[in-house]
Amino acid sequence: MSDESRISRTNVYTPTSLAELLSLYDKLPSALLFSGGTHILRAQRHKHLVLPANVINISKVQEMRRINRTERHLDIGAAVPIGTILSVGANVLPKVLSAALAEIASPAVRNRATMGGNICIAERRMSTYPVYLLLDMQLELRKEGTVRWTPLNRFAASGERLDLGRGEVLTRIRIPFAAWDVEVYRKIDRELESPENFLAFCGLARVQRNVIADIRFSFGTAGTLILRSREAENELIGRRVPISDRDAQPIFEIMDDLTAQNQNLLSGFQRGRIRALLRWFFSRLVEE
Amino acid sequence: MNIAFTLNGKSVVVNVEPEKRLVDILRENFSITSAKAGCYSGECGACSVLFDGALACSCMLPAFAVRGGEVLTIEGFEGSEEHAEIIKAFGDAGYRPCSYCASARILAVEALLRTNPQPDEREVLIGLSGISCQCAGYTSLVKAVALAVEARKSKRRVRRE
Amino acid sequence: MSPRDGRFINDYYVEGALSGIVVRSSVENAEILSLSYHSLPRGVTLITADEIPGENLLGVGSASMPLLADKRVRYRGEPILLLCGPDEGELELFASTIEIRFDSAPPLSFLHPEQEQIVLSKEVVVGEPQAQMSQAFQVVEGEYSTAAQEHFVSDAQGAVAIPEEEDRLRIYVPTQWPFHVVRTVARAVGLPERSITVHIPHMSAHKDSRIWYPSLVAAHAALLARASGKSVKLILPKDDAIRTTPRRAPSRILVRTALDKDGVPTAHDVQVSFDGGSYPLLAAEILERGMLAAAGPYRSAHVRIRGQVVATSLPPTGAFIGLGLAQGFFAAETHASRIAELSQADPFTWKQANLITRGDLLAGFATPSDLPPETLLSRVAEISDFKRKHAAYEMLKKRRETIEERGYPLRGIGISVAYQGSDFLEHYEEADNSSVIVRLDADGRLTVRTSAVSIDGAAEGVWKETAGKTLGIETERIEVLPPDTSQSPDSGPSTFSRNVTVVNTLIARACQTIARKRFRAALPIEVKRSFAPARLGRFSLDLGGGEPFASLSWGAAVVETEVDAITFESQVRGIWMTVACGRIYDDAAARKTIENGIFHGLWWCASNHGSSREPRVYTLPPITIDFLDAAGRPTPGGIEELAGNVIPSAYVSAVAQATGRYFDTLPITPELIYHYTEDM
Repeated sequence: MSDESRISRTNVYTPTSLAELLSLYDKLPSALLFSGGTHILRAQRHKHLVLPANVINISKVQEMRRINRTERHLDIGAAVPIGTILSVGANVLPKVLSAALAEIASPAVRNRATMGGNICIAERRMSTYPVYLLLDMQLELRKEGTVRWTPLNRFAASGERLDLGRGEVLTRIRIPFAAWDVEVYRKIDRELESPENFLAFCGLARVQRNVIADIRFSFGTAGTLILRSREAENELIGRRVPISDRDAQPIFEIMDDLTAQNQNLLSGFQRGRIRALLRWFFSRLVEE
Repeated sequence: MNIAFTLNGKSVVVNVEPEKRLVDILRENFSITSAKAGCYSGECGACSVLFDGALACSCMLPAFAVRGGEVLTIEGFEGSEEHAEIIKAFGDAGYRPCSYCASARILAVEALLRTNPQPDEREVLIGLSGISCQCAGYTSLVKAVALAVEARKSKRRVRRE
Repeated sequence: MSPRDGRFINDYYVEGALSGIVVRSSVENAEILSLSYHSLPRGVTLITADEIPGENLLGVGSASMPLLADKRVRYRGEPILLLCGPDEGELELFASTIEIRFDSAPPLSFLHPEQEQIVLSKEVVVGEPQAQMSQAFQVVEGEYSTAAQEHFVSDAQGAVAIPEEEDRLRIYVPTQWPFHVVRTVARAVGLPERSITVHIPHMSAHKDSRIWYPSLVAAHAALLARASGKSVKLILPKDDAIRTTPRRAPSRILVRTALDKDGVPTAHDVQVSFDGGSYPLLAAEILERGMLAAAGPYRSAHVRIRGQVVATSLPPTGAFIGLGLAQGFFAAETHASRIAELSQADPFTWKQANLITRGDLLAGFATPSDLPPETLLSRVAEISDFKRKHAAYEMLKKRRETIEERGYPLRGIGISVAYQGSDFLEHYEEADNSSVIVRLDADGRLTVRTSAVSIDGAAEGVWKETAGKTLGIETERIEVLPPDTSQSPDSGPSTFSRNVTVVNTLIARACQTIARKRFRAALPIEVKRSFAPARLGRFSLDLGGGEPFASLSWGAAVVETEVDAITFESQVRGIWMTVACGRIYDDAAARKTIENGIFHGLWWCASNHGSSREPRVYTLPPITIDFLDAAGRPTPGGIEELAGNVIPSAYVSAVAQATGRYFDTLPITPELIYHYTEDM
């Protein structure tokens, strides 16, 4: 147990504006940023919570509680609860995003958990990650005096270390709108409860006159391993649907190579499921 | 730390450690034991309350996060028309959760119907999925919620007329 | 259903009570080398095995376990020391600074046990099984295994102990066996039994997880209360409760069946092995039931059944629902389906033809008084359209070449039949004199006193109706006093089936006596009736005689599944059950009990080994439950175990048909299905 015990009382700060938050965090960069707190609290299964000396409750920061929509993208404040995103965005959210968000934990947890919190879990990529990735999610990161935008894959590029500077806060999430003809999402098992069996899959495709105009697909696995192959995607663009066995074969080979490189992280069973999911995605390309 | 919030419609102030969980505040400071302290990790759902109108696990709400919020437990919900409708629907459907999880289930049904007035079977099961007590059947749950939906629809119809 | 209907153990807030916590072993099978900690915080009391004033022992029958590990730990999670103090948070912090050093040995193996691990073995031979085997037209052999299943109990495992004047202790603890708590606590703290009073708080559905385990928790709370001189509330954290509450005993069962040329079984040779965990407290009970069930519900005049219980490094195993019946029936029924398949018969036809009927022996023992109704299997086959679906899925199975072949869903259907018995088979000295007291007052009110615990009021309704009918009294005028060991007679361990059979019979008898006396003697009349040990003694597995159970309930199930060729998960498409259990008092409650049993059984079938996560149900398979007419049997029978006894083998047979692979183990995880079908 850490030294921040019940004896040294926790100080909680509750800024209501972004400016206030950034200035506070600049002074207390080791403070814990707390919004829904679901991930932090889930890890403490005893009656008595242990929190660090300083906690900044960001759930009242107005700028981070908003959802904005333009013609080209959707902006979601990092402290908006997932339950709210689902109800407000019911007709706006990309289908795969709704599907992925709706499968997080239980309604009570979704009402507290936020998208910002979901993205900022460093030790593993959550079930939503493949969807975020394929939708080209951009993140707004702010600290006192500066603001920068970064694509999600760069933010989470180095394993368990996120690209967050000292005093820097994820404030806003931008999801560009794009039209896809095929959108599929599938989550198998739960990442926190049975990580060894967990898989998340997202596949997107644009098909024009039975020819694949654009396609992306990605698998999330336990830990920080995300499988996506641009090579496989490029190989498929321009191919006809339904995808013939001949066209599919090289894609399976690429993916098999990729999973084989990560044998220590993926059991034979998981690799079998990855192949089966991919085959299923290809079969869906026929139906659309 | 002084925490002011609304509990079952009344303004209250309580002096507690900021990290004390709402479920324990309810039980120890207000003697409201209908919210059960189970897993302390948001998994069993026995501590469910409505927080700012939405279903929440009260074990997942530290005191500081409750400040200024509105908490509704079964004690505050009892006596309302909606509560009576749900109880009647449970009875008519033969749905009998045990008294350990009954309040959580009643509140979860209320929360579900507030956001989704006509849930299908899957939505009902998902809506109640956060409460893991194994006491009651699923078939009668689905039936009970369907009856509650009907009751609310006919009430709305009567009001319109 | 009001949440204020009753207080659960965690709802007891006693003025000035200290919090208690249990410090547990982090390893399995190890010697404790040393135990060290900094000075105790103020107001904190610490107890190790050395500080127990009485006996460091919890016993059931002749088996026992220590209350606190003394020099040696046998399972991960075994209690080593107890702490209490005014602030639970501080206790948790202090506990985390206690250093315990172990010298670990490898865990004890179930599959390859050393001789000294065999804590119990039994053998029964009826007829001439060996001769039948050697003359058989065909012998079918199979090995079946099941994994442990953990309890998921909603309300806390815990206890509150309150020291009172004159060296007395008052204990609140959710238990199915209040007098077992009295005896265990008295022995632990070194007080006479009359100084201990046990009260029962409200409890949620428990799947028999509270037979002896609460006695351990209560003894811990009592030891702390005696040592500190203050009231102590001990609530186990959820994870500890799941990890250490007695789980369903893993099993490995070999079945050999001799068949004549028509495929009719002529003899059974069964070898049953149970993993009893580190302290096999209910070993004999589990083993005997497992042995009876593994011989199957089919006629069998020539039987050899051998059984053993192996001590391992698992946390203690326990009653669960069924006490070994579910494991035994899983083997017997999966085996029967296998025989049917080898005989080219559909399993319904085979099972129907060979199911026990009048004049047959059941596993070599006396013909049971409660036989399965003739329609038990035929009705479940009819409502599920079993024969047609089974034939259709057989065709699909044969046509299919690869698992992902499109257009051919991977579907299968299975059928199974089993019974559940009432009461315990074994004699427990402690349970032999189960009694109830019934009193009719001058104002016409009737009071029933029993220590039997009626969870959620289910059995209480049955008792009231029995008493009311016998005496012609409205049930509103009948009161069943809450179990309290200072007022109630010892009614032994409570399970739903024992409550509605043994305890209900005692109440009926007491009421009959009152009915005879009421117009001759002055009111009030008080009558005590006890269960005579002689009646319990008529069955003996070792001697191979008698009727095992006083009454039987029967169930049959059909399960239809579809295996998802992407996730390798098996989705249940439909469940049908017929139940013959005598009189149903409350249809909705009975349906709820069966449905819960179905989901619980499915959870055992499909969850990962040792998973303590409760299943989430997002899609509901259609469930049809048909209670067969009970006209011939006015008394009620237990039903809580039935689904668990029939669902698993029906499920496994369904998955086997869906995949075309032979499964003989539980659980069937998606990973297992993947590996079995990899070569398809």
